[in-house]
Amino acid sequence: MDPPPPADVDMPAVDLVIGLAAGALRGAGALLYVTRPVAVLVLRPPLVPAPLQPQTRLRAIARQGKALRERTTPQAEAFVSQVVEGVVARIDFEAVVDRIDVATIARQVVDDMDLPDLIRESTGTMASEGVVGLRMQGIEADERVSKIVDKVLLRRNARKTQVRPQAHEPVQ
Amino acid sequence: MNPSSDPAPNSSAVPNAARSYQGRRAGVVSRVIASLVDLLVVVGIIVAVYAIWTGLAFLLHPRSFHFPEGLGWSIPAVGFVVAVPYLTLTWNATGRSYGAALLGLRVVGRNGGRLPFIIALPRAFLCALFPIGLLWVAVSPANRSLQDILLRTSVVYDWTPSADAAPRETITPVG
Repeated sequence: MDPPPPADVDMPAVDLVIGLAAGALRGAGALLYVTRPVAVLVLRPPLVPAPLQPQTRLRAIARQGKALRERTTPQAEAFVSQVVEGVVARIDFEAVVDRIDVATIARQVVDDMDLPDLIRESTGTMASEGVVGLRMQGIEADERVSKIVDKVLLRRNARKTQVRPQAHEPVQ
Repeated sequence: MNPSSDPAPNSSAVPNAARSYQGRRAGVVSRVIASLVDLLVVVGIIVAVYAIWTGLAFLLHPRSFHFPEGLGWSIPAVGFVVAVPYLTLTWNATGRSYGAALLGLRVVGRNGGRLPFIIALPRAFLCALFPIGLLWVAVSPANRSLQDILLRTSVVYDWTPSADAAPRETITPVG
């Protein structure tokens, strides 16, 4: 008899949650599809005059709620504004700022920014990519031509391309 | 490419791939391209002089104006007159003409320092008079043109932007 397969422990939680949510949505859709005729029947029962239908009553309640919301919103906003202003007035911002070491934070930010590199890039001190490419190709071509000429001339030693400083002048 | 293992100048403006070449004498291709760029600059100056000349002639004598004819040998002569001070002043001031700056080259003196005026002037004269001497760089075992050999100058790779940065920082001592 074959042993049972090992449990699949490599099961991402996110995928599991997504799968469950998709299943729940499908179930809700099916439920809505099934209950919709029932809800219509309850809210608008046949043979009942429109003013007496539950839907009419619910609409009237919704209208009242809307009117109440429109009436109270400005008052609520004014209240919240007063509360916020009161709180702000009570806070001593200078004391808060004094407790923060702004200089240290600023220094840390500047250190993290790599300012020299930023300045170099923004001011264009560093040659543009095109110029760098041209120069590099020039160097490569110089090397190739030198090699070919040296081979033709049967030269064994490498070229002496260093500039010799004077012996009594120290090179920094 | 076969760069030297010598330490390169510690300049962050120079890409890593080019650092080992800094301060070394440049090869023939870079120098010929730089010279061609300088030639274009000189031609541009000549064209500008010609345009100013004809413009003034037209303004002063509009009725009898005609474009100059039979320029002939005056063009190379004017080119020589333009090129010598252009090269002398740029080499003496920063060590690089426009073409050299574009290719990342610098003309340096015997010790790798700035080219003095007294050397820059005859070098410019020789380069303008006998430009073919530049091709000796390809043959020279030290990447030197005939003008370099005569005046003991060098043209080195130097990508550092500063005018004074190259001579002492980029040159590696020998021996």
